[in-house]
Amino acid sequence: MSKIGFRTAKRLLVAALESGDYAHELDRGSIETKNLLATGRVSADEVLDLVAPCRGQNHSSSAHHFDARIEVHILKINGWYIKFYVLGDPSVMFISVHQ
Amino acid sequence: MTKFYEPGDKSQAICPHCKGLVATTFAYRNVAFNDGSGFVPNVLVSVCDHCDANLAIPAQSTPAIRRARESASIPLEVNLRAPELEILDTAAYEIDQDATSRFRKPLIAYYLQRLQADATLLETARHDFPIWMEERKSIYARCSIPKRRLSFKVTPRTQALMVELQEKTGWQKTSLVRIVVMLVKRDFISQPSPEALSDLRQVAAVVNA
Repeated sequence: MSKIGFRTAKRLLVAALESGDYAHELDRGSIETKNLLATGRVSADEVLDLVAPCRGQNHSSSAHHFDARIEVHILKINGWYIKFYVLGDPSVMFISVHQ
Repeated sequence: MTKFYEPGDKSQAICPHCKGLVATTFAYRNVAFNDGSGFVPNVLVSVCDHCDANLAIPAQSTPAIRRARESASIPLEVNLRAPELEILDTAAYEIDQDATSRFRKPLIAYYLQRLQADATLLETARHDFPIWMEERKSIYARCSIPKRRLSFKVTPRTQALMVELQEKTGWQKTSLVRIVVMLVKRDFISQPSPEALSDLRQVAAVVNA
């Protein structure tokens, strides 16, 4: 896995949210109801507001357990938990967005 | 928002069955919610090109997910006694003579909302409910009283409200509904409340629109 670092991850996340080029990973073929962005309980704009003040200390990453080439990023801020990986520039897959 | 996928468009996703990053194609499928509350019909999903599994949902499907999520989908079933249902139906008839047993759900939802919003009402209910249950037990001891199952579907919002009240009070679901029956009897039979009648007539006007 080649790590892209927090700044690049944040830039790509913001670009994906702004462009709408993101998707939500299904949980064994079903919609993860805890993912509040997937279910429309929070909007992309609200997630952008959450992400904006994130700094390096809000970020961690690890290899995806199914494909070690994929870096899974976690942002934790103000009780929120945003887990995603990057598929393109920009293209993001959310695993979860919850509080 | 600028990105918009069409059916047949290609993408990628991690497939847990194929255990890796795979090519996917967007197609329309029915997709369930993982809490068992229902499904979203005919929504655009990203499908694994190898094993045909549904892997991901694009951002543009969120409005359809939200609509499906907000519709009543979680079963609520409680066993009551016949007189308890008759209390609900008597109130429903007074609120709107065209109301059918379908109005039981909005009636119950109205009182659950009031219990959540009004701490004084909740305290009164806490105090009065054991007395009410003793009275009901002595009435039911007089003769054989048929049991009735109250069964309908509620939205995730109403389900969350019930869970919140259950956690706050320790009451089970059936007790919560019985407390509503107690309050309905008070407001519509024992000590009629013009306020409750007026509120619920407005609810009926919306529900029956």
